[in-house]
Amino acid sequence: MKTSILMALGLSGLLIVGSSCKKFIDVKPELNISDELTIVDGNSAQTAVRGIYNQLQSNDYYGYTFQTLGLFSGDNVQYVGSQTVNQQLTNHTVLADLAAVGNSWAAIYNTINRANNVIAKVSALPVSTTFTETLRNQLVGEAYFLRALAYFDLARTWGGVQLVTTPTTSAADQTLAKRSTLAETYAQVLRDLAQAETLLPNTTNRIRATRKTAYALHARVALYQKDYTNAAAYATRLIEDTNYALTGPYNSFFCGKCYRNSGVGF
Amino acid sequence: MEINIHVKKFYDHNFSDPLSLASIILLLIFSLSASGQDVKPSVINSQLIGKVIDVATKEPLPGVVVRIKGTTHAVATSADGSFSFRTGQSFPYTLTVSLIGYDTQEKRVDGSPVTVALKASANQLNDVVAVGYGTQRKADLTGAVSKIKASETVKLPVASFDAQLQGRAAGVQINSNSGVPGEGTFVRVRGTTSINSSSEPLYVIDGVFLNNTSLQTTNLGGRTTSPLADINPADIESIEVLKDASATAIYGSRGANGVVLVTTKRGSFNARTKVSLDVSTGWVEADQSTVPQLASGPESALLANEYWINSGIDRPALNQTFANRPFRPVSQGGAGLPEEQQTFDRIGDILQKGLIQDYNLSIQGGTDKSRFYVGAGYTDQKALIKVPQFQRTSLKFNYDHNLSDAISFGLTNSISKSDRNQARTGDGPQVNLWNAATSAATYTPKFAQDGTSTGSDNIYLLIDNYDVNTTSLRYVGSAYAEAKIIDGLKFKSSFSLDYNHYDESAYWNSQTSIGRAVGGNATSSITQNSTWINEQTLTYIKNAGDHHFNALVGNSLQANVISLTAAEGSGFANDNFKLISSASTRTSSQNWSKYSLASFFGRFDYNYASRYYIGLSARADGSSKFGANNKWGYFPAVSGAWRLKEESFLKDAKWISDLKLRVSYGVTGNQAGIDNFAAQGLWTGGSSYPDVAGSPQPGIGPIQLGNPDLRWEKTAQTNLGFDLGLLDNRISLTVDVYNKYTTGLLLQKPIAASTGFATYWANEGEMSNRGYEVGINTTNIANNNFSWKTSLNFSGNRNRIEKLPTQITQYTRDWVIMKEGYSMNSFWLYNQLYVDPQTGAPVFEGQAANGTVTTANRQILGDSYPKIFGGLSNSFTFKSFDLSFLFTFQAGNKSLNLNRYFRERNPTSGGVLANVLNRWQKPGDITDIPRLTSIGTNYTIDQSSRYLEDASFLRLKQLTFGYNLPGKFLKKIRLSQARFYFVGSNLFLITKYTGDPESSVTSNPNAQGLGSFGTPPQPRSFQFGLNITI
Repeated sequence: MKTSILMALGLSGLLIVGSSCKKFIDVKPELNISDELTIVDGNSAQTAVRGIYNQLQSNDYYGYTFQTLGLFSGDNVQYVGSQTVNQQLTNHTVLADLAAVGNSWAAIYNTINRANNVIAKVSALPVSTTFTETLRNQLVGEAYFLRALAYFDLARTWGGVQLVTTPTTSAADQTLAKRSTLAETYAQVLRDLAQAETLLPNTTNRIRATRKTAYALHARVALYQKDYTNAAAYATRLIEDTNYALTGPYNSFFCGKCYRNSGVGF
Repeated sequence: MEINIHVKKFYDHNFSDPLSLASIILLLIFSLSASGQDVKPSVINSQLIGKVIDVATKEPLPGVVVRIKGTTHAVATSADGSFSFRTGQSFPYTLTVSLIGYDTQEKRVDGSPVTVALKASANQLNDVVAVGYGTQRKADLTGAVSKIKASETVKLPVASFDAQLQGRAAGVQINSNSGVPGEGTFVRVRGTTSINSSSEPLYVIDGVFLNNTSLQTTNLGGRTTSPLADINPADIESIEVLKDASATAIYGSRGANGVVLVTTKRGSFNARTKVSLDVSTGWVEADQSTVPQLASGPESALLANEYWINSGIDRPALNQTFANRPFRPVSQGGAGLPEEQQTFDRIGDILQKGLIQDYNLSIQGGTDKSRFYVGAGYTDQKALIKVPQFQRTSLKFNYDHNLSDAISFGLTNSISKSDRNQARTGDGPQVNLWNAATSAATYTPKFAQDGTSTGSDNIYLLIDNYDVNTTSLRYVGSAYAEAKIIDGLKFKSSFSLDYNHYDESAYWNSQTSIGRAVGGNATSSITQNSTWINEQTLTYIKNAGDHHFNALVGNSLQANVISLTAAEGSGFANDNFKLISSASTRTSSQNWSKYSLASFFGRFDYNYASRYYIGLSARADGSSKFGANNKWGYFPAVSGAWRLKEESFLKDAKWISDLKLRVSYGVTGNQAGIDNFAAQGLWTGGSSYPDVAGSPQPGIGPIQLGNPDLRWEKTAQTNLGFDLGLLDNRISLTVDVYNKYTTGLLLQKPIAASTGFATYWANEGEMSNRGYEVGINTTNIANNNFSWKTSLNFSGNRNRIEKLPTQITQYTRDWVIMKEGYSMNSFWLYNQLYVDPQTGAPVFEGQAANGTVTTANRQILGDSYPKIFGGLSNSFTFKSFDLSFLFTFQAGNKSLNLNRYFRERNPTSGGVLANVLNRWQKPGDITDIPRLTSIGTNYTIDQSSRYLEDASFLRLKQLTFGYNLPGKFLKKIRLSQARFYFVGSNLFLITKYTGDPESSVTSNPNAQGLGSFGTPPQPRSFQFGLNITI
């Protein structure tokens, strides 16, 4: 009798296992979360946009490495550290395997992928009383602006690049992206800026993109394209804005909390 | 009847695929079992009492099974070796008397009482060998399994039992990377099968899957601790290494690297309670031949001057001349002439004779219903260098109880506390104990004149101020219940737990280079790792005439959770404040991860007349680690054996006592070592940014690209082997050859950065391991006074990366490379052919006319795996004395001596090896050490083959000498056994390598063979002990 009770217990154990196996071997991470759970409402949309800025200021992009590509190649800044490979930049003998080049490239495209996620997913979110149309437009507008900035940086550093405008969710997603011409890349920058200029609020915020920030970038892009009319037109919009002014002396540019400085657009 | 009802219910249910497979097998077993009923004798025709003793010792043997031949009537002997029968059989009849480890004897009896003397078995064919989820007779094995009896190994003073197995089992390569007790060991069973996943074998102790991934988070210079050190080796009864696919496929997605089954000690039924105490103490010390030999103070200064002046000659712009050489007279502003320099022996000061102590107490015994084993142990091991220390306190309790003839249950418990004083060895200059001793120039005084430290980390300050500690609390245990349903059919259910609480703390006070910069730094972290397993098995054994069946089906559920909470603080008021709460800056972090595994498995063995064998086994594993499209993996294996000895043409061949051919093929997997969420697309929460000027707000961003197709690595293995026994099995030989081919290596595959990602986890690449194993055991002499046994094993394995899309380099300076067509752990170097006798400049293969080299000139010059490795042991007993020794050897393995790389460079900065005294000095000098100069390729090529050495070795790994007190004397003092012994380890070493040939600077398995640097060598040890049994 005992035997059969034990037996029955064991067998029912087997059965329970069979029915709940699928659930049992489905484990959800908690440190990093699954990409299905990321942009689902207004709050998560805001965190995703902050994530783009975070990548923009990361060490390999505006934080350090990307900046060094231009600075070390010019004569304003001299590298005095122990990594002699950086002499390649100073001497204009850059080899393909220079880590700074690849790292910046990867960091910029990482930023673009984050922006692509926001553009694709936030636009599709329903509005509510807390997640207003204005806020949604602002978030998507910021993503367009940041993507424009990223492609602008790619264009002025590498020329024409692959134009990726949809989020990457699997390894097979972007295999067809071909290198575009420089003109096409700039066209993408201007398209994104146009979107940003419509969507962004016309406010002043020196650490987040606004319509005014988009104008400022537009002026700069136009300048790179020798479109002096537009460059002047967009620059004028900021020059005439009382929130922005040239500040001096020169060393005040190297400030700890630059966002308080009226010389700072973004 | 009951059973049939359950079967019906069982069958009616709707099953998923793996389960229905299991249910069909179950049904088969139920239907097979409808026969066989015991017929109990009702008439008593004879009464027999008797006793079973050991023929050699005359001691009574408990637990011996005595059976009347031709009947099912059997009894077991009690603690005093006696047994009795009341039977329907009439005299005379034949008794079959059997006990594991003894030759089975048949004795014809014609009256009572009777004494049967059993002889300890010389052949191992009747040995029971643990296999996955069960046991088998060695004679019935169809796979490749090595068994190691723990009594042979247990006394080596290494903290973890894996390190004790070196040279004991064919096909198992074991290297102790460092001489710090309790640190990880490099173990490979039939080669390396993986790059990113783990190639360590799976460890199973009494059915519990044992975590073998270090929980260490404190930086130890690239080294890790061994979680196996939490297990007290003294509690281990035997260790089986499962090697071929037929043996490991039942472990499915975790079997590809072999399986190490550990069986701990249990009591015996019907046995007198035995109390055993083992005490040993001794010391460890450095083998001077493995310690770096630095040039003396005057020699180093001489070399420094030469380097200085030569560099100046080669490049006058340096303005380095004889006049301003560093070691010129003090009157000229120098540090004094070379011959005026003193020698400061830091290495000598850091080495010590480290005390080691080991105490083990065990109590075991049993009644007819239950048996138990209790073991308590304490081990304290200091290292051959100051600071590191390992202490372990452990308690073991195993218990089995038979509720009735049909139902039994039992417990296995092991609880231990391991305390480590740790020090950073390995790589990296900061607070590195061994490096700090070797990297300072011998002419540099221990302290500056004002008493402050010299250099970044002064070893004397380090020794006094090191404060890094870890406490590991470990529980490994299981509880089971087993029921005999009908004859031969058993159901077993068990719950197991492996729980580890790992508490680390480090305090760097202002005297250390870490603490000095930040006003003291403290870290504390607690890691908890727990694995629970629930397992059900159903076994069925049926013998019908010459047909023998053994079947098993089962399922198991397993989940592993690892969590970490850590805090760090810096900026302490003074060195007396040590806790993070007192720090001015504090940070904390947390982590959590989990995986689960659901499995169904089965095995079916059949043999006909112990002549023809066939074995089938399979496992289905559902793992949470893998992609949605590949959650389930299926791992089948098939094996066969033919015992030629049982055939008529060999049956009468007296000199051949056994001959068996074995063949097996199967597929196993590997999923260890990769991240639990490697298959999933993940976003990180650590991407904060402010909304308006001010404090950052939470932000998220993608961090990992998912791969729904991600799956386990798959290893197909073919094994061919034979077992041969000669002259009544006094000579036994086991030979195996195998071919392992691994596909779908788990790699972080590079992807175009324009996707926003750099890599993703994918199955890419293939690897093979081909090899042979030979094991020979001989009983050379066996008589009552003198015996001599020899055991030799040697193996060879050839690893080859068959497919790899892009080459991968390892470690700094890319010394090691993984490249298609080559072995793992291959060295990627510039081949220094010779030093030009005219100029003293090195000549590299393929160099340009001006002596420069480019990356294209780098070549693969050997690897760190031995071509052949093994062990030779001999054991002798003479009356009350016993002597045994074990040699271990490896040949054909290379090691890049990083200590030479760092210490044969620039004598003007830091210590320099005495070997540099052999440098080229004048035209005509023939040497491989180039002319001293900082200019040119002489000392600037990091990857010069000059540092690559042959690391083949032969070691006297263990020597044991013992003396047993004679029986008469023992009786007087009421002991049943008393033995005095001496154990020495690593007593001598023959190698061409300049250092410890097994050393490795890192625990990174893909960068092995970067030797000597920062790594204390393995100790030589001397221990004296006493073992008494009451």
